[in-house]
Amino acid sequence: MTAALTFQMVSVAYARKLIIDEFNLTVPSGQITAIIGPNGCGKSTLLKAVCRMMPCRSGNITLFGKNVHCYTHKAFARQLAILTQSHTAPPDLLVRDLVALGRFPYRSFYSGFSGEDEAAILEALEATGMSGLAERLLNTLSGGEKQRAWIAMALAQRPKVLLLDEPTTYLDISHQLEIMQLLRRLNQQTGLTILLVLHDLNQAIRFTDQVAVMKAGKLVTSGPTAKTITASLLQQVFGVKVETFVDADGVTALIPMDLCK
Amino acid sequence: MKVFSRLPEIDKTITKYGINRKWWRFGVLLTFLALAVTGLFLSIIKGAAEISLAQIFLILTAPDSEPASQIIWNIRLPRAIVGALVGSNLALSGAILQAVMRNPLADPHIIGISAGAGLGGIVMMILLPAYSNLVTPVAFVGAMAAAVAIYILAWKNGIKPVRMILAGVAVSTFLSAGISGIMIFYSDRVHGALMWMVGGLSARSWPHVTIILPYAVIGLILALISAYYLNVLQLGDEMARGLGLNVELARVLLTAVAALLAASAVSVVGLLGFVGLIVPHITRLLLGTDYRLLIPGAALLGAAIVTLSDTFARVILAPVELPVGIIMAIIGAPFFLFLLRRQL
Repeated sequence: MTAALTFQMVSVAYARKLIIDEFNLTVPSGQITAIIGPNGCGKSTLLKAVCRMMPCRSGNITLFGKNVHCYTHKAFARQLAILTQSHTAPPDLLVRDLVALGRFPYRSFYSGFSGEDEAAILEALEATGMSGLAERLLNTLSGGEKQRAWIAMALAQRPKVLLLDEPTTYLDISHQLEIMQLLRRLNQQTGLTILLVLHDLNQAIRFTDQVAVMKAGKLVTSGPTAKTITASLLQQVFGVKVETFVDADGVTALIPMDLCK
Repeated sequence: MKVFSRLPEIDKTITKYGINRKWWRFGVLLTFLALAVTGLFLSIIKGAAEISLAQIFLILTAPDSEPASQIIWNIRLPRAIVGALVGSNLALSGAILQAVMRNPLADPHIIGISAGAGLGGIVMMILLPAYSNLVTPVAFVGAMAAAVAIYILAWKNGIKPVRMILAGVAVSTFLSAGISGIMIFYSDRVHGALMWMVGGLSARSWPHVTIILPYAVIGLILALISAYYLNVLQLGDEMARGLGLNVELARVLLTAVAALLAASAVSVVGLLGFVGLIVPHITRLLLGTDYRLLIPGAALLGAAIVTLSDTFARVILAPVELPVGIIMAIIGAPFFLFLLRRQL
């Protein structure tokens, strides 16, 4: 099992405030890894630090063994794509035009659109089930379709690693499942490494292989999701009492019952 | 800051009536081209001296030394060309700045580039009238200096659009105070400068064409190249960075292109306002937000609006000639209010 991303003693500060404190983690290649933790614990900041949107005060983040700061902007975007939590786009953008922007890291200002660009766009639309909606305006899509369009744009980058910040947050439960199943399928079919911030712990248990649990900028624990997320851990990290039971598929499900007093 | 709150009117219409988007856009671009050609043409055939169409055609194909030929070749034609280039430059400058600053109100006037040119021009015209041939280059230097000042003031671990626009407003206010100060201290010499302050094409001729033409050509090419980068930038800084765009560098370079375009225009015709603001907005309403179309569209419509307004300004109170800046402001201010109510 090779490492796609490694964090070695990473600290990130915003102004004087330390947001991530000596964080260590190895994100295995070809798996889905979830980052969970309370609001404000530094999950989004961690993703931004990977994408060099926030500088590390100390420590190293490597992508396939190479420090992220040693990549050029475009070379980095060819290896790793990120979908931030909220995104704006011009309202009159067509889905296919949005996906086409995903080819940006492959183009220079003098080169035109190549056949490979075209193939990557079609493939990304196909993989996300957006082929039939390619000529639609982004603004006329439902929340789930919009999110799939953005994922298609990220896939058009042909990345080896995909980072997502709370991809299901603003969606209803059916669209949430749709997105999570899509990510699982992409991971299984193409071996895409996925690192995502999730709030829904049941989704994490059902759809992810590895989990990293954060609290106050520090890594609490990490490991295979099903083994790692336990009632006592959640009590420690979130301060919530949960009941667990095993559902019909043999997957553990959690129900938050009460706050710990 | 929310830049896009609503679908452009036209896309609603297109969606509603099932009009083919491609054909619509092609049609709009063609209309803009026709308007620009009409504007150039009207600027040449309309004027204080009555010259018949047949005669104009003859003169254009075979210039001679008659006064009519002088009027067409040395007054109307260069003036029309300057008007078209100025309109196109200002419109492109505004279109680029609106995406770079992620603010629909950005234009060379608001961020202080024009005020820089204004101060440079006024200083030469009023304080150093002996060097009046240097008005344009000094105005150009003033505009570029203002752009640099905005950058330095707005720089703090990178460039943030909001900080940039606020720095621009501050620079603009500061330089405008300088302009007003000079005009008050030297109120006896203000007359010549007044025309320049509102922006006018009066007495613009071939030397002015040669000043603005290289910048217009280079600027247009750079703007066309920029279109793809501007489209990526419209997704927001984080997504743009995620796609591999060096956002800070792109912002610096794109603003430099916008400053170059605006500086060359302002230094030739003075402080012509509103073109940079309204033309990109009209273009966006009709063509959409894709910069690959917006850039050529804005260039054509900018040329059309300035040449048409200038013809109007010359004809409406003939033989008195109004500065085109006044016409632009008269059209621009109500349109601006209209935008405020409908689009923002």
